[in-house]
Amino acid sequence: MALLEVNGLYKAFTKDKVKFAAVNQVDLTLEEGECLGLVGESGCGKSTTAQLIAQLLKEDRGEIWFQGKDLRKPANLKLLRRDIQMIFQNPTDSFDPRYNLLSSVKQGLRYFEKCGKEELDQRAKEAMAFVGLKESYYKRPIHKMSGGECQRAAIARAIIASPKLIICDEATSALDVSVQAQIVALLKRLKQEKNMSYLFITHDLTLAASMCDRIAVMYQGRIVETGRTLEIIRSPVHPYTQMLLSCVLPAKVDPDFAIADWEILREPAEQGCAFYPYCSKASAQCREKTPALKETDGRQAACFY
Amino acid sequence: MVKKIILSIVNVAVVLIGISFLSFALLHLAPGNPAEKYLTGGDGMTGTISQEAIQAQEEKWGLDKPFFVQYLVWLGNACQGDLGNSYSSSRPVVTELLDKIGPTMILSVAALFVTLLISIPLGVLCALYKDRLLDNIVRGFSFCGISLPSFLTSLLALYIFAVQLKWIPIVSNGSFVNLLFPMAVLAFQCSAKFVRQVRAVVLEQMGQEYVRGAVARGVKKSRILFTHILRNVWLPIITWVGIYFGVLLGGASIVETIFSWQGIGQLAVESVNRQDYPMIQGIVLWMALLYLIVNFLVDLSYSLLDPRVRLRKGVRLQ
Repeated sequence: MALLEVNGLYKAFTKDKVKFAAVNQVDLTLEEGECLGLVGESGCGKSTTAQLIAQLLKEDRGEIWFQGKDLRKPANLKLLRRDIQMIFQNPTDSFDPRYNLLSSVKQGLRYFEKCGKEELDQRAKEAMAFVGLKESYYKRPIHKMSGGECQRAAIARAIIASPKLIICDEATSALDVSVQAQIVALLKRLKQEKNMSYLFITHDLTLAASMCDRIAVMYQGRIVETGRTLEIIRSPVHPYTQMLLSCVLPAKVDPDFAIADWEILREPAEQGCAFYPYCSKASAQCREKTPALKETDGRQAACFY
Repeated sequence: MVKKIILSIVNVAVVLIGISFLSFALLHLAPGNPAEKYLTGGDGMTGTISQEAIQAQEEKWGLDKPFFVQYLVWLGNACQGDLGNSYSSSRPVVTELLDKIGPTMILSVAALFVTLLISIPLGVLCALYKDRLLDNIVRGFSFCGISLPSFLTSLLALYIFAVQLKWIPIVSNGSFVNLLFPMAVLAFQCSAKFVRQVRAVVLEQMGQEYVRGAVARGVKKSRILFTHILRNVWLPIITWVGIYFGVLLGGASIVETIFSWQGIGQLAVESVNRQDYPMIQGIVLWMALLYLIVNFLVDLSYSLLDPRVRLRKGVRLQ
């Protein structure tokens, strides 16, 4: 049984009286101890998917199963909240400015377990020690800490309740490269030592490649390709994944592949494959039909070719 | 802290001198002669008073002296606590002001108390139930309160409750019943704006990442509201309370005049009509001083309420 299973997840928003699907028929599976990267450009629906899984937003359609239990049921959600923790993009904004660091970390456990003050203190200090925050930080107010220190504290707050899954929503995007590396190293250590599972959301394919076991590439609310990280990085199947990789990595890309007027054509296709306006391989059927994910060389891609 | 207080007092003094000079200059630039107005009783019988009599009156009040001399004399006296005598009543300005502060203070405190009592819970509820029925109803009331001028609201209230229903006398006798209606009008007007401001800051906090994080961690909504959101909205709320209190204490001239409430606002209107320079100067100074004191207290409260505003030792403000 998978730790997390998402089937046909759909969420639409209305903007300027026009309804658009931010998340469209998304299927995801995450095994225990696995790190699944959800990558794609800004606005493709990654964070909305994360918020739907954490039930911060209500889905329009679809199923979310966690440890075999339906997360959409309030009774299940109440029981499973402590097993799913989130780390947000902006480390300082994810803390209430009125509390010091120790109190903030304790809030990660206070509402889940009825334990005494001393035990709560002890567990908060252990979590903080694990992420490398020294004793001198305990009474420090949040606004006097750096971004990296805050993100370590956010991780401490997330792990204090011993969750099964941590959703990292662009958790390293606001940090500079060296701090980013430290946080990734910490998350990897956490995965090894505590068998933690991650849903790692990022727009940075390099980062996803170094962190994740599997990657799901998202475009215009849909998963267009999913598979083992190395396979996706070495031989991307979907033209959009190829384009993404050509932007960031010296990857093997079809020499005939070209992106036409990328800056000008920003409107997604109204029907058919969302990527066809940019795709050199697009044919008539791409305009008419939406390709479903199909098995190709041990991974799945939503492309007719 | 002591240094900050001393610095603030110096700032207050400088601002007060600036304001007093500006108002003094504006009064002297305004058309009309207060001595002439005093002698004619302000009824336009200009021709009946001799030029000598007007000059004599001007000399008595020191209006014949150059502008800067007049101002410096006034400032010198003001520094000793003497704001001169009212032209119309001949009583000391300070005594007149002290007589009117009491009623204005009662009206202001009562109106502010009712405003807070209405606006804070309603603003929070409107934010929690955004775009729902309650929010839409309150928005409608708020729109009315903001767009209806205070004189119209006051006259309507007076017409309905004093003329038609005869619940209150038309001319105020300073009783509790007489306090109710000007207070209700002021509270309605302040609440109309305040409720929207409270709603906006609560909504802003609700959209913060730390609130979403608390929801994701499964913290109860009521706990998030009371331990996180409400504690973080005090800063802007206190700023507005300060502003409204300053406005109310300065005297809600129109409301006080219509309900014949014997406060600073009514005194200000009468003094302007009579070109009573010392009285107007006194009122302007009083209003400026109030604003500065309220702002100072609001500033002090920031450092007590928000750890981010708290200053470390050795950190300079500028």
